Amino acid sequence: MMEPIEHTAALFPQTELRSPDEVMKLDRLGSFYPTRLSFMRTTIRRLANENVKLRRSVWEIDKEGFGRAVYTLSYGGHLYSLIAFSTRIDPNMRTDRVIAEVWDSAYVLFDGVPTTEDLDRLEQNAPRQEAGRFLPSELVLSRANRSVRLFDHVAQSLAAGKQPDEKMIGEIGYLMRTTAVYGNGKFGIADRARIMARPGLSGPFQAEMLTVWLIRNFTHDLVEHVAHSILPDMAVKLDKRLKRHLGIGNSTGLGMAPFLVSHPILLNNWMMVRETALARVAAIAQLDAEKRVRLERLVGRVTHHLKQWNVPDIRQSERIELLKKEWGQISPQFSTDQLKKPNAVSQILEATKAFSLEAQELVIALLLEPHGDLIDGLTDCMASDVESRLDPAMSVGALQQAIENHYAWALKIDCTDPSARKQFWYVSEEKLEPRLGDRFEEEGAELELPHDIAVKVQALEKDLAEFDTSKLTAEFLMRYPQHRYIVRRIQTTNAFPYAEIRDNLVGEKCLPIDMLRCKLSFFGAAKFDPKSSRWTRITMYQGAPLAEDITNAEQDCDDWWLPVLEEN
Amino acid sequence: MRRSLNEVTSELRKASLGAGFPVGHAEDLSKAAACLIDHGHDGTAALLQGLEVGFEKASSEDNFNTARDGTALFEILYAGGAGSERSLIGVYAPALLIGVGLQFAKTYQCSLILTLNNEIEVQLGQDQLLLSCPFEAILSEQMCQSVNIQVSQVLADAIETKNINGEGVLINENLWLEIKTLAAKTYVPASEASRLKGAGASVNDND
Repeated sequence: MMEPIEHTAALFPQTELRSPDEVMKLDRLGSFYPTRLSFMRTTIRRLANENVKLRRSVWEIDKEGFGRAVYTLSYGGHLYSLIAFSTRIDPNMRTDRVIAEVWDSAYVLFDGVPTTEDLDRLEQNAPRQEAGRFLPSELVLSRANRSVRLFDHVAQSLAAGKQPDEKMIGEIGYLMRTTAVYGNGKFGIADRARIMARPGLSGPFQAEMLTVWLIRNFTHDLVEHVAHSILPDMAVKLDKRLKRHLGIGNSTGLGMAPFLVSHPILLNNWMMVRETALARVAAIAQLDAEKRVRLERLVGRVTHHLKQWNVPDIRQSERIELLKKEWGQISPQFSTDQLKKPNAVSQILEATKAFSLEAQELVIALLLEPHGDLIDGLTDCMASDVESRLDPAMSVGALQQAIENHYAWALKIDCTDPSARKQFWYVSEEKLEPRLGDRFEEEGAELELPHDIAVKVQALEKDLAEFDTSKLTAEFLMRYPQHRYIVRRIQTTNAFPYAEIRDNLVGEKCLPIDMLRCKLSFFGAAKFDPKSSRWTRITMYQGAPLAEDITNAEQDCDDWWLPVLEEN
Repeated sequence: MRRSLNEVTSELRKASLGAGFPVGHAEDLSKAAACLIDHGHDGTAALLQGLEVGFEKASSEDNFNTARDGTALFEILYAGGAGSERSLIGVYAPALLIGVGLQFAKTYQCSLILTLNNEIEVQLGQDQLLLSCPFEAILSEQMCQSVNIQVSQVLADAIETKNINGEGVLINENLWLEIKTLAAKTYVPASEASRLKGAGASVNDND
């Protein structure tokens, strides 16, 4: 039987966790910033702790930058290899959409060291992506397109013996952007079961994050190689400062959003870790000198980062402009005198409540940043191998109470109002691209994905009202089998309070971009650059250590939150 | 062709939806079939057998619709505690019932004994499936005259099957085609309008 989780005595002092009714709202989730708890940060810390060396064992790339390459590393006691294929494509065919058929590059994270036969086989399949077939020796499959604007500019600049334009580097921030990073058994690659017990890969998306970091490394090598091929006698390498600022872009669309709905316990664990970290930091009675200095320095970085964060999207640019103004009022709270006061953290958090959600969540991410010693261990709790499980012995009365406790928000929605049901999520037959439709203007709503949670809760409540409250859930479901899905969700949320987004995901006002940003913040992505309400560009590993930094004992590999391009 | 278990489970789930089962059932049925596959049995065939009956056909005193009511039945028994027992007449897709029971035993960490036609015994525990006859023999019967289900006991002299785990599974290609055909019923036909508007991106989105 799934019992609600009770807080036992905390190992560290902590304040009350923020209520799911406050946190699990789309507008707040859509204001999240990456923190040190993110998956990318966890990956880098681990790589650095293990002093992992990256070896490039294959480089069969021609002068124009096409061919294949292999990078191998020993990590957590296992060997892994990134296999990269760079392919010439018709520029007119280049697109980031799921419906793309060709890409500039394709990648595989291989379990071990590939043989030539493996490389040949994967050369036939990896560039085909979903149309190819793979084996359990392949752990992750990905693809990336060049930044049309930046890649050629960097190659030409380096070839001419010059560093590329810093403004362009700052504005774009990546040489290539991935458009999908597949793991966990898709298209025949290894099931997560193969790696879930391995040190370094057991956490959520760790295999994928490792792959993206390796891809970034490849893109740096590739552009330097192309530059050298153009003018071997003049070409120079990328300045390390600029190289660090070149991350990997990503086009994130609707496909990522349903993940938050279909993995409720995982979502709960991520949120619980984040909120617990916040609660620990908020409980700090007196900041020590080192933390104060660190915070003051980070405040400067935030100011700089906001200046460099410019996007064309009107909604987001308005939010950034407001945030910049608010930051002018918030940042003085991080003065030395203020930080020396007792309970400085909780006071700052309290004061920030008067500002926008963007400001509130930015301040939270900032406050978490210097406190790795207090919170990094929580990241071990972010994975979940527990599946949602129905509690058949729960009484109907208790189920009704669970609805009241956790789904009051759903009961308040007027589902008879067309605007409350305007949208529907679906999978298109066209390359299985996830899409969002207008229920009243488009075909296909009868095939919608089960994201109409409020509608389902209300339908359930109506049938529960007719049933004897002393009877068991199992008996109710034998009579009303159609409610199985929503009953399981409600019982899951009863035990895992942050499992459900507490907003109407099919209503007119639902902006999928909020769900994307939430998930991307857990990945550690920065420079959120929405292109519509349904997809965004972000940059991963911008500012992150390079492979050579990981093995440099003098390099701090854990200080790249909110990357800025410092002036040379 | 070898496929990952996750890929197979995902497709089985969509096939169950395509066959008209609600999403909660589809989730459970796909996991039940995947459990059988993970133990080296033809879970795909077992699932397809169960889906054929359809969701709308409610169980009655002399007909039991495994796909529709199997999980709920195990839940009622489980709620009754160890020693709970139920006898069924006219059980559709008995092979799928084993899968449902196995998934249930795994999830709820209990032990179950199924007795088919008073002669075939099946013991289910967490990641344990013991049969007193080959699974294929059970699969060959679309309907079983009687099934007795009991919560918890140990069986001797049985065929223990192994849990494969982690290296991908082999699926009968004809059955896979059937599964994909059912799964395709869950996809919305493409249109120019949905292609342009549905993902929020234009067709050309380069930078």
